[in-house]
Amino acid sequence: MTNAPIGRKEFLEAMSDLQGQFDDAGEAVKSHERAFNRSLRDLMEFLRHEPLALAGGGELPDDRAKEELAKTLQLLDDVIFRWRDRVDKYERNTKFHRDHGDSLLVYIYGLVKTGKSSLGNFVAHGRHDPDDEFVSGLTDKKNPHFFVRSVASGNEADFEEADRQIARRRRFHANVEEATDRIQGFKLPGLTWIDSPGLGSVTEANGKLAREYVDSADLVLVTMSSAQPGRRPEFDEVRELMGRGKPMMVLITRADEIAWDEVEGEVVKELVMKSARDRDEMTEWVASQFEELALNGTEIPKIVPVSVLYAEKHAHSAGALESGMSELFGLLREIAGGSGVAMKRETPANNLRHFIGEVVGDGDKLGAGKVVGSLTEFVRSLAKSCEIVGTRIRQAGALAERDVTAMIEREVKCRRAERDSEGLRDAINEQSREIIERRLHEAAAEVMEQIGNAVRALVGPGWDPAEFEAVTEDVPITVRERTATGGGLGALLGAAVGFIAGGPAGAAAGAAIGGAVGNAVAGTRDKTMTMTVEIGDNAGQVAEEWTGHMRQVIKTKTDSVIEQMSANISVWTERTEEVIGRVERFRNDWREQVKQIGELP
Amino acid sequence: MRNAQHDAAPIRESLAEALPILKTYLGVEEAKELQAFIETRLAEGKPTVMVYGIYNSGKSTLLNALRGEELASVANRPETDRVTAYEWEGFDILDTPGIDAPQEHEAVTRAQLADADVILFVMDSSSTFEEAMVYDEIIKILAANKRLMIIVNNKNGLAVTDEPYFRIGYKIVENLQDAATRRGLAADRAVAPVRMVDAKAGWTGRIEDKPSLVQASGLADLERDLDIMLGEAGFHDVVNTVGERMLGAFERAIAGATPEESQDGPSQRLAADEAKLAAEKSRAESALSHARQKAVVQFKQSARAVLDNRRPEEVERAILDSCEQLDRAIAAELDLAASPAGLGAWREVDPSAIARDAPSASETGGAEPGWDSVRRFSGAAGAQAAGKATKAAVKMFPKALGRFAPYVGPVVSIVEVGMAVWEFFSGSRAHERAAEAKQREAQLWADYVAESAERLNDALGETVRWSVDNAFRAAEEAVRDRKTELSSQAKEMAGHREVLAACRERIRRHLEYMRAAAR
Repeated sequence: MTNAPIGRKEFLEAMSDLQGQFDDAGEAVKSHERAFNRSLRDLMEFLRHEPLALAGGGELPDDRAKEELAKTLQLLDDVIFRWRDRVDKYERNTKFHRDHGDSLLVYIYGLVKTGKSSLGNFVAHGRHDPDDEFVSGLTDKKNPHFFVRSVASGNEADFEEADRQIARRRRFHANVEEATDRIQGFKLPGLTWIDSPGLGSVTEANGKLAREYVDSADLVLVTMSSAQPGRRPEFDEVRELMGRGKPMMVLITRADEIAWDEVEGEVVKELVMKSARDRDEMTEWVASQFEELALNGTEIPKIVPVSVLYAEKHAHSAGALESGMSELFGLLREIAGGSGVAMKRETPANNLRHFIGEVVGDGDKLGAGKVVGSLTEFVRSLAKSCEIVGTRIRQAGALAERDVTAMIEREVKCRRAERDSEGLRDAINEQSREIIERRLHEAAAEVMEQIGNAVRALVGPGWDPAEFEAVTEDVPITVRERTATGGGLGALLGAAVGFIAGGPAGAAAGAAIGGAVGNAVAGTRDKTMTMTVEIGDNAGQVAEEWTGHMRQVIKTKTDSVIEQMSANISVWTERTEEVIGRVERFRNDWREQVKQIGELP
Repeated sequence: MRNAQHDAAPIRESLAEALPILKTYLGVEEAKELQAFIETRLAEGKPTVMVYGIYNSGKSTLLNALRGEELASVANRPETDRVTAYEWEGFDILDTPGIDAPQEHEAVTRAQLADADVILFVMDSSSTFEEAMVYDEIIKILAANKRLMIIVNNKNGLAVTDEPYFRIGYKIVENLQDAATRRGLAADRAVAPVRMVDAKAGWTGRIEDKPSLVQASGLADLERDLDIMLGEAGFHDVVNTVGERMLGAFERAIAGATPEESQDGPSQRLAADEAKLAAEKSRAESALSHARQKAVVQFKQSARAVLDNRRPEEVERAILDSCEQLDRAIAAELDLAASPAGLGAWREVDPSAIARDAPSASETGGAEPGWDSVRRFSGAAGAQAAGKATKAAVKMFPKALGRFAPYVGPVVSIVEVGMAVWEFFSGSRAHERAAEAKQREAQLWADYVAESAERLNDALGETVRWSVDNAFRAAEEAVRDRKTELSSQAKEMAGHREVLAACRERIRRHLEYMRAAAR
């Protein structure tokens, strides 16, 4: 089929001829669809419950880990919410597509006030805004069936009213102001034309609704006003669509202008097409922007400047060709007759593939990769918190050691005079407990509370500290004992000898000499005995033993606290890693399975 | 001019006061640029008018129409990528790149928007007036209290007689009010005149000299209203713009002068270093206190062994051993202890500073106190004493000596014998005294050891304290210095914030006063 310009009627006839060939082909992907939905539902259920189990895992060691957990839980909530939303959207679009499985579903999509409804009216009736009189003249059999699929308010009564109205009016509202707040359309043999609300509208819900249904399209016609074609928000939308592999065509709408003139003092105005040069310039500009997008070598869609007003005005003249509408119809016929049938069949598989791709991917909004990333970050933060709090606990242990050592010396000094060993034991026990508890709570209150482990008996039954006592030493004492009478006998003997030899004077001298000799001759003898002397007390030893013991106690205590904290964190880590593993298995499984319905984007 | 000076005074004062601070937080270049901008704008005193809007909305066409000549380039794609000034009725009107194009022309436009005093916001009647982003832009302008006119480029060619002609105007007003509500701007501030013009028709009318076309395009009406609006614009608009820009600069500078307290911020890092250092020091203190206790206990044990021979040098040897024991512990502990700034040296213990003098002879009663005590009562002593007494008597009393000489020998002998007999009986008491003396001596040595132990304990304690303090001093000083530095920085920043906040408040009050006066 050629893409030669054709008129509206020829286009509709061509579509009518193709009617029997269109097939939704949704059945082919139904089993995958069911399996994926079940798998995703299971994962959501798991993630919905597992975070509660995570949160019930007890207190975390510090604020850093708590904040990371809160972030992770929030992200899980958000992702689950978005997945649910996405499942709904997928099902909505799938159903919509299936409901119109016998025709090519063309979806008109663009910023607010880009002429979408006028375009639809023109395709349906050959007029951009047919009046009641025109519509009442139409016979039901030959003319399009208008319907409303959904309204932006989401209100059932609004929907019913809108559906009633459009069935009666058989046309879209096409006002100077924004008029579309619903997914509406008309159906002709082989063609379902969907008119969506404008994007970027002051009424935010309208744009949201338009995005909700765009996946149902077999072909998207993106409208860009010729006033400012190719704006940033338009390309943001186009990028999204191209990323999802959605076939599209770009229409530069309202490619006309009012030519004013003054003829004989009277102002006259005429609707004319923008010059060919202007239209080419706009087309090139939009094409150049597509080239800059450069999405994996995706082909630049057809870009056609059109004016429905001009086409309507020149319906029966050569002007129809200039309006661009004939070119559009020709292209649509070519697409429908060429790739249209395949396009129709491909839409469900393409939608499912992209749905799965979004969920198993790393995208910001929906990707399970984001969940894995957040959970992995949480595990990292646990390790970091464990390290930080462990350091704090060890530091607290060091401070406690210093305080306890000083306290022991103080207490020993106070109690050594009284040798109050019992009092010392009680005082050290009591004060050490208080010091250690205080220091550990200052450092890691959460951990201590979580452990619920107050510092209890510090001195176990297996350890008996030295008690105060005097330190004595048995000292041997040797006394040199002399024979006491030696000198006296010597003196007597000396005196006697001296008297005989020299009279009284000799006696005196003899006594002296005899005494001296007696003393010398009589000699000495050593007498050794042992005596016990006190060389102070053992206060130093008592202090040393207590200090050594308490240092060991503090080390054991801090090691035990760190060990228990690490054990608690390990529980968190293991649970979180289980969740990561579960999500990763889901991702890997579906990356494989999706290959059966084509490569992932 | 006096009024103008009055209007500008708070701006100038605030700039002069805050400029050095602004240079610190915004950078010298930006602060200088701000200063130059303010001074130039206040000196010129003339409002800047700017045409603003989504690209291709007809801004350049409008300027051409107003000027009646083709100066600004017109195209069907984003064309303008620079700001160009066009003179109109004595005002410079700036044509700017349109916003919302995929290309990045917007930065220059947004920068210009901040500096402009009067904004002509151009939108297209056929499309953009229902778009949310358009109103977001307008609300920002109104929030900055800039003078604004919304010009709808009548691309649909609607005539005044067409019903939609007015509906568009009403819709714009309605959308603007809704946007103000969404953005929290008071409804009475979300007001701006809306004028419709077909810029292209007006331009054609002007260049082809077709007055009725000019009239029909709405250009003439627009010119009239624009003339009135610009006539009302004056120096206070310039002050408003300059003031708003200064407020923005102050906000950013205040944010810059507010320390960011993140988990890994400098204060937190310092606190962590401080805690680590305190813990390391405490651990070292505790470990060395324990080592010191062990060394003293060791000393006492060694000293007990030397009590037998009572040689002071052996006690000193024991002290030295204990000192060395502690030295090794200090070396090991302080070598192992890590601190952010590294550890300093420790001091070895000086044994000579610890050992007091050993018990002296006078304390113990002589070099051989046991022997001495006994000798005092010995016969030899008595004999010596007697000999000495005799010699003395001979010297003192020679005659008497001659007379009594024959009796001296027997008397002495009798005395000697008597003494010997006395000594015999009193021998056991002498032994007791000797033993007591020995005990006293032993106790003196015991006291000596005990006291040495105490002194050793004190000295080693002092050494431990000194060594630990010295070892950690450099690191502690580094932490203290950093703390002081951060504290002084914080103090300085607080001072800066105070000045900036005061200037900001002054300008804010002044602008409010001016606006109230203008109303």
